[in-house]
Amino acid sequence: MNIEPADEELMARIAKGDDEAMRVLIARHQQAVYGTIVKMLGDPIEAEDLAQQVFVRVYRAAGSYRPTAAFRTWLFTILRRLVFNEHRRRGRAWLESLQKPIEASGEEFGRDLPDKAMKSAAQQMIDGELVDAVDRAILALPEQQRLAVILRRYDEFSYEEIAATLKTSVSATKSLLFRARETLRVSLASYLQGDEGSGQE
Amino acid sequence: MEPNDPLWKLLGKSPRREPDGWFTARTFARCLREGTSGRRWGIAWVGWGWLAAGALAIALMVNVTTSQNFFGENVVVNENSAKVQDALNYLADRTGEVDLWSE
Repeated sequence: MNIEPADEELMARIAKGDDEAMRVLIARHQQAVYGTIVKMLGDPIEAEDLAQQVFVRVYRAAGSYRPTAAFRTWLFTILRRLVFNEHRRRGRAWLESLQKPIEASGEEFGRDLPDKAMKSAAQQMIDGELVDAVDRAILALPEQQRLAVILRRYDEFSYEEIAATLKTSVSATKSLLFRARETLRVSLASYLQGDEGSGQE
Repeated sequence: MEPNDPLWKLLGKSPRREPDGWFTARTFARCLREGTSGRRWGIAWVGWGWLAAGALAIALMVNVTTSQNFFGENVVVNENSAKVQDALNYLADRTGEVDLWSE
């Protein structure tokens, strides 16, 4: 039985010069890190650069890393700082760009639609619009609420983990999620009505 | 936001994007490229810090010793010093305009 080493053990190995342990760490967390940043920024190219920066910082800090908190919390704290700095660097110009319609360039921006060859073109267009609407709604949230939603929904963080990542309290985290949910319910109301109607027993 | 919330299900219809198959390799290469230089610079920072502190201490010592000589050379005390001081006191006690060039 091959037991995978824990993140803390990998960090200890990296500190001792085992670079292969860094490759394992990247492979293990790349989906969560990259996927979260794409959701936060809406730009897959920028997201890759930032995701790489996250791992570079992890690598540099291996020598001084102390497992006082869960590794994933520490990792996403680094992610939070980089993403929030990028968000501020972009400023209003970026927020205004969210209002512009997405250009149809053959590939939907910011996501990979599932390969549904049997779906009709109309259904695929509807699905694309839904995905687009969800992504825009998330991107329109304030950065703290946005990250809290993404960590909760897509990374399956607990309230405590989200609070530790955001450097806030559990009650403040729940408040963030509550406000985000209310905002999302308004912005996605038409899609929710359709889902609720079809889901009723 | 709980799994039985319709909003939860709706958000799931826009899945998290996955990196391509070469992301690990590119990221690993960048870590080795930038992470190592960062580590080297981190060690260099420690050395340069001590060097800078030593240089500053030496500069302060030099400044203190040379400034004492400088001030020492500028303080001129001779037989006319008392007269100069009296003149200055006289001018300070005068009211109204003082014409320094008048006899």
